[in-house]
Amino acid sequence: MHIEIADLRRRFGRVTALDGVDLTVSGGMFGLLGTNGAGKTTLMRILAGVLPATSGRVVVGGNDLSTRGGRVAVQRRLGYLPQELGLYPDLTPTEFLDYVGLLKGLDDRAARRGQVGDLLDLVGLSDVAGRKLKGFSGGMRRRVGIAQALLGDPTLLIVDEPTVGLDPEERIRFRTLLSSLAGARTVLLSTHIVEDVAQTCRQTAVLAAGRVLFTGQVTDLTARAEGVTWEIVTAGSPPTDGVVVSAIARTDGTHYRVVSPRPPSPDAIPVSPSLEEGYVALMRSATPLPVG
Amino acid sequence: MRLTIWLHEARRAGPAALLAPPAALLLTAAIAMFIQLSGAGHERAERLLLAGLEAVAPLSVAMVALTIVVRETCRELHLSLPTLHLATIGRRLGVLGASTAACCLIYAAGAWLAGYRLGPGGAATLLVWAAPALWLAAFAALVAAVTRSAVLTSSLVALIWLAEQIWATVFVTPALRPLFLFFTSRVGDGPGWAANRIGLLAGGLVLLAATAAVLHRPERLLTEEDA
Ligand SMILES: Nc1ncnc2c1ncn2[C@@H]1O[C@H](COP(=O)(O)OP(=O)(O)O)[C@@H](O)[C@H]1O
Ligand SMILES: [Mg+2]
Repeated sequence: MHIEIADLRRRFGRVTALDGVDLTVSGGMFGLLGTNGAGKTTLMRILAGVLPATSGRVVVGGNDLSTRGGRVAVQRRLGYLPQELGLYPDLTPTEFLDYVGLLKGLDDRAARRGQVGDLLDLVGLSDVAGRKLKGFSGGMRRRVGIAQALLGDPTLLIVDEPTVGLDPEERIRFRTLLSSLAGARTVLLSTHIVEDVAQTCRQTAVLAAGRVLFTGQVTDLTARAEGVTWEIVTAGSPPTDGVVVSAIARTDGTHYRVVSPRPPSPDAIPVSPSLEEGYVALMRSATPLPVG
Repeated sequence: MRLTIWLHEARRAGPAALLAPPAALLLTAAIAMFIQLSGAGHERAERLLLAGLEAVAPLSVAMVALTIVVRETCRELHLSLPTLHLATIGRRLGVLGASTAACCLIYAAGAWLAGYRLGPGGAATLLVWAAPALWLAAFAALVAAVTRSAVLTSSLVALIWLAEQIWATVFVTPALRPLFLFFTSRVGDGPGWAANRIGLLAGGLVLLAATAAVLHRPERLLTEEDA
């Protein structure tokens, strides 16, 4: 589903959460990167029709979100996993999905039951389908969350920081599941973890302080660090120039990877960057360098 | 009408929605029975039974109503679904209304069969509880929708309830009479009773409409902690 956002603004009292966002998203999996407080959740909420914009234009699949009709039309084709999905602890996954399905307008009982069963299979929760949600771990709750989002076979899937708080194995499972869902759908994934985007998305945007710093191919974001990423091996003190992205101690000394416009030391060798380094280079070029 | 959604909403309204009003009434009835059996007199038991119907039941209904409006652990998810959140809250309040009506009707019928006279009798007895219950519950729902705070709302509801009990003589004056919840138990069902009941019902409907207007922008219910 095609998403067109133009000059979108959202204020909360004196806080400006979104400050003139322009963004285009077409099919596939799209990663929205940004630190905490960048405005990701606010943007996702507006796209999900949960929150109205202060000003600007948002068109999703041809529907203008500023109208009630447009919002409902989008919500009929939407799956949304909020950042904080509270569940009803007294329900089982089956009951919870049945309820959400009804609210999504899946009126046919047999069809709804069928979908609920299939989705519980898909997210690997069939074994615990009859257990109350109150005992579920973070990863299991997230899987219930994605299952409810998939009810009604949405063409747009919006997932807000779905991998936070998951252990590494769960995180990898979860994002693999998300990519597998992206085939015919548009999947909008927000995260502050660069690796999540690196492993799943071709298109990405970087949000900082309510503004879009970058939008385009993931490879283009990586390329931002081309020529400014260095490796230094030293037994001495860490480099002071630039941003140290990684430091790995080995027998021959500590291997530092540094993003810096100048070589951080005479024996630094240029290396080809990762997405994380592209992200760091972007963030660094966007904020003025400290004096001195 | 889809029955399943109502069953789900009854569950979401919580056990309190279904149990609080009957529990309050049962307790009142038990105390009245005790008074009667202890020989304190038929009239005193009758007064208490009437107060249960007109004052205790509405208070418990109002407390449940405010909980229904304030408490929702999946608020953000609800706001993203094509079913209006206002409709969902409306269904839950509807469940509360139905269970309240059932309890109060049974209670009033039981009292009547046992020889107590609660209000004017006949269909008009409905207004003994329905008018104050609607008014107080709608007031609670509105304050809850505006403040989003269960503590604040329940305090305010309790305050109004208590003030009307303590200053009943002030509330029977013509200016405040349409707001007086306890006309039947404090003044009686004589002159002015019907007007008071109609006033309460009308006020309750206005408060309900105001609640709906506030909840029409349900994102107001998202608190910053949800962000
Ligand atoms: N409901 C709200 N009320 C007040 N301020 C909010 C609300 N939601 C978000 N904000 C503020 O807007 C900014 C962006 O927040 P958010 O969209 O949650 O960012 P992110 O999801 O990228 O961490 C923050 O400064 C946050 O405090
Ligand atoms: Mg967020």
